[in-house]
Amino acid sequence: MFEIFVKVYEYFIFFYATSLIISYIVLAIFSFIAITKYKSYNTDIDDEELLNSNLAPGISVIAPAYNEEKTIIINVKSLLTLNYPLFEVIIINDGSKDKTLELLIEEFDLIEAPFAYVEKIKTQPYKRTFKSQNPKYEILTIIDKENGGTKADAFNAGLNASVFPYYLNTDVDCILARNTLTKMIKPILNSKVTVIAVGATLRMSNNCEIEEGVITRVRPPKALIPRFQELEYIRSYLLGKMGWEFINSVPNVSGGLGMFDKEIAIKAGGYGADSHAEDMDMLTRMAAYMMNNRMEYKIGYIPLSCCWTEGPPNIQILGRQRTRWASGLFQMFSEHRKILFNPSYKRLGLITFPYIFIFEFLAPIIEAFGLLFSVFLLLNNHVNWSFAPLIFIYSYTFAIMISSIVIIWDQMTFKYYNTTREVLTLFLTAFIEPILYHPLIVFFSLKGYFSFITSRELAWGTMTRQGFDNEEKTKKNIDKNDGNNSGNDTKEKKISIFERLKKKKVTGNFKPFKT
Amino acid sequence: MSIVEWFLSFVYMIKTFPLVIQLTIVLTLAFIIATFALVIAIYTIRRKHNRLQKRLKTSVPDIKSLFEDVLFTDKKFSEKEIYDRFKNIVGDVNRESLNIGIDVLVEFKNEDKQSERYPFLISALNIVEHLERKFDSRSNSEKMDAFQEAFVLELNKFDSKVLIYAYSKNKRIRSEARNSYLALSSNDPYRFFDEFDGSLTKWDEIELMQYLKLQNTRGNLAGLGKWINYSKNDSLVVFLIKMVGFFNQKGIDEILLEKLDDNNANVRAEAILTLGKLNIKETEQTLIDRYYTEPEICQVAIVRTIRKFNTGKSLGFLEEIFKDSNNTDSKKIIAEAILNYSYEGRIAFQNLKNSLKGFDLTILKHIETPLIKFK
Repeated sequence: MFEIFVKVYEYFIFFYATSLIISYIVLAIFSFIAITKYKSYNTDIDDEELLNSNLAPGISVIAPAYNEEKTIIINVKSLLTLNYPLFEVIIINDGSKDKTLELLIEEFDLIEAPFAYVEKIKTQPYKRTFKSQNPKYEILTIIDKENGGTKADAFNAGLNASVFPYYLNTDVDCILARNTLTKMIKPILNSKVTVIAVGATLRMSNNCEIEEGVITRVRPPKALIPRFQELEYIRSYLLGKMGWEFINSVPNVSGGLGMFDKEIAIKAGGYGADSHAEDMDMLTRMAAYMMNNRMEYKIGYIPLSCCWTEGPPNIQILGRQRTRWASGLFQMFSEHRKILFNPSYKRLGLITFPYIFIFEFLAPIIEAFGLLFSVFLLLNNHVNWSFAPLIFIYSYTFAIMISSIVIIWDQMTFKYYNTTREVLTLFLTAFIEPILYHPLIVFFSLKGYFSFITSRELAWGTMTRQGFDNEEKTKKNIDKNDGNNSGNDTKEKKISIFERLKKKKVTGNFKPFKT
Repeated sequence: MSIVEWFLSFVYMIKTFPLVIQLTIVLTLAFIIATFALVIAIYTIRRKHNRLQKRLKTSVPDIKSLFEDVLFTDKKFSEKEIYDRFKNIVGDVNRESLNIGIDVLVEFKNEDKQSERYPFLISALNIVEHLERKFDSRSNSEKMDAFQEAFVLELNKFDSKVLIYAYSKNKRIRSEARNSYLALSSNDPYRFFDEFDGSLTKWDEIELMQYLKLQNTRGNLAGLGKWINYSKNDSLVVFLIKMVGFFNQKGIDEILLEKLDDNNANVRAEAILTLGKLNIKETEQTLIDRYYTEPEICQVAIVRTIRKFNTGKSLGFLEEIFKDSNNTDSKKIIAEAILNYSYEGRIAFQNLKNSLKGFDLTILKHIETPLIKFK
């Protein structure tokens, strides 16, 4: 019996790994075509055309802030320096317990303004709106609301307050490239089909030079954890999302940087207010809305890095971030399970969702089981030592090759690093990433799933900011959620998955997408 | 044991392994070789990039200085002199160095630095021939560059080149060629207004508008009414009506009035807005009469147009529709129109403020607050 189980398990792992490898190779080919195509048809002269055009559509830049006193000023300044003819910046103060709002009021000379706030999407209560008395900051709007426990609720408030037909969602800890709006609106403008969302690459800001909210010199992070994340981000965006873009099946546009069609976002019901993977949830809602209403749509992606965010500086903070993401992924599949393998949802139901489910959602579970099973085989002396190292080297060399492909794609697109040495540093990181970083990600993913199932409490803003001032970095960190008086009362008390399913069955409280 | 013997013994050894393991070994070797190849490629790309950066760092300031001397000073240069001095700076006048030169010229143009000697400099460096080569290139990226650079440098000598691509199988190139034809053709720039494939994208509109602006500067802007009149392409009609308003083209009142009865609401809305831009005040009552039978997009256009007319006759109408409307966005637009509707409008706005309560009052305060730029 045991022998049969081992045989079946071996075959399962073989086919699983092989299909994963093939999918990566296919995505690498798709992303190469998509990047080449993007490079062929988009030039910097386009930016100038758009900047000088009277027809450039307005864009609302929406960034929620919760306890962001460390970086709020520099980041809002960064958002205000964006180069685009018609845009507004909306910061949602989501009931911050620290001095976020006070700092904003002081720095930008804000006063409370009478604002006709219409709650097109239900959120936690809106309190007031602030506008700057300084004409230099006339495009800045601060919305103060009660804490909603999730970033999604804050985004919804931003959507309610925005005036333009497109919006860029970002985080206040993000530093955006000045040409972000011109680059990201282009796929929307250049399509005959409705483009519901556009994404771009994010990178780590940890060792970059920033002056007055503008990135002046890009460097790979010196610390290992953010450097691993830089490589992971480039791989995920340039290889993954650009590949998916080629077949119009982008599964997710990052919450750190994404441009959306506001009308569709509102019609799709806005962000799921209790969602912890609000970005993927939103895109899924929008795509489902379009399909339910039999409307053609596209999701665009550009291979340029437009956003720099502070990466987790240590394992503890990385753990919090990834646990939240994993829990959010679980929540997303739980809420949108009717899409999975559903032919009515075409590519989304038959390609994107199954792929993410099998190769991203299940991967940590399969890997963890594999590890435990290997330990069991080791203890029972069932390991074939002649071939085991070969299999290990096989997966290890594949991982390095994929990272090398991604680095070359990145170099092909735009050379962000000044020196060859910096590129090689990233390449060398690829050698240790599978051994040091990957196991951590697997562990935190499982922890996130466990948190979701056991209804552990989660809160947004679990990432401790160190700030961009190097001197500040040496000072003691203030952990927003571990602090004395912050976080606990803002955490959302979650209902366990079993309770929720039971509740849904009893009440039949299911919200259809179709409007 | 020699390497060959070792390799052969390795191959024989592999052959004794199960197929899956054989595959694993072969693929592992392939991955290692690919990784090495990629590292070499990364190194090569970086080396090329570093060399170019070094070259740009040294030559761009000198090229800028030379071009500024030619374009913006009174110094006299012959074409040969310019060519030789350019050659001295870049070493060799080739594709790469000419591209650097063009980038400098494009930068000047974008900074709106005017000079009558651009054609002279372009001729001295044989930039037209260089752009022709770019048009002929197999690379789509080169072709796209050529279209845009020719436009920015205001070169309209590429009729034949652009025409070839106006019928290209590649949609992007075809669309770019047809749009650019408006700026790059000296014979029949408006030719493709009759041949657009399907609806225009917003990007098409942005491109066409800037080419029309160029024609306007050249004094060659044609009356757009005839295409509005007979084109069956609604998106083109909407765009051209918008352009008529933008360029303030007179004499198409009849066509615009006809378009008020078009089946497409977007066409009607744009025609209404353009009536406002052209200040055709006689249509004010017609627009008011239509208000309640039109969809929201046209209602908003009517309010904006009445605000533009600013005749003082429609204040009562604006107040009435403000009270009737249930849509907050429309209410904001109407309130703004009342506030900006002459002196009487401001008084009416204050009266409304005194009489209204709750959210309606908030809307009025919102509109009145100068701190809120985008209402």
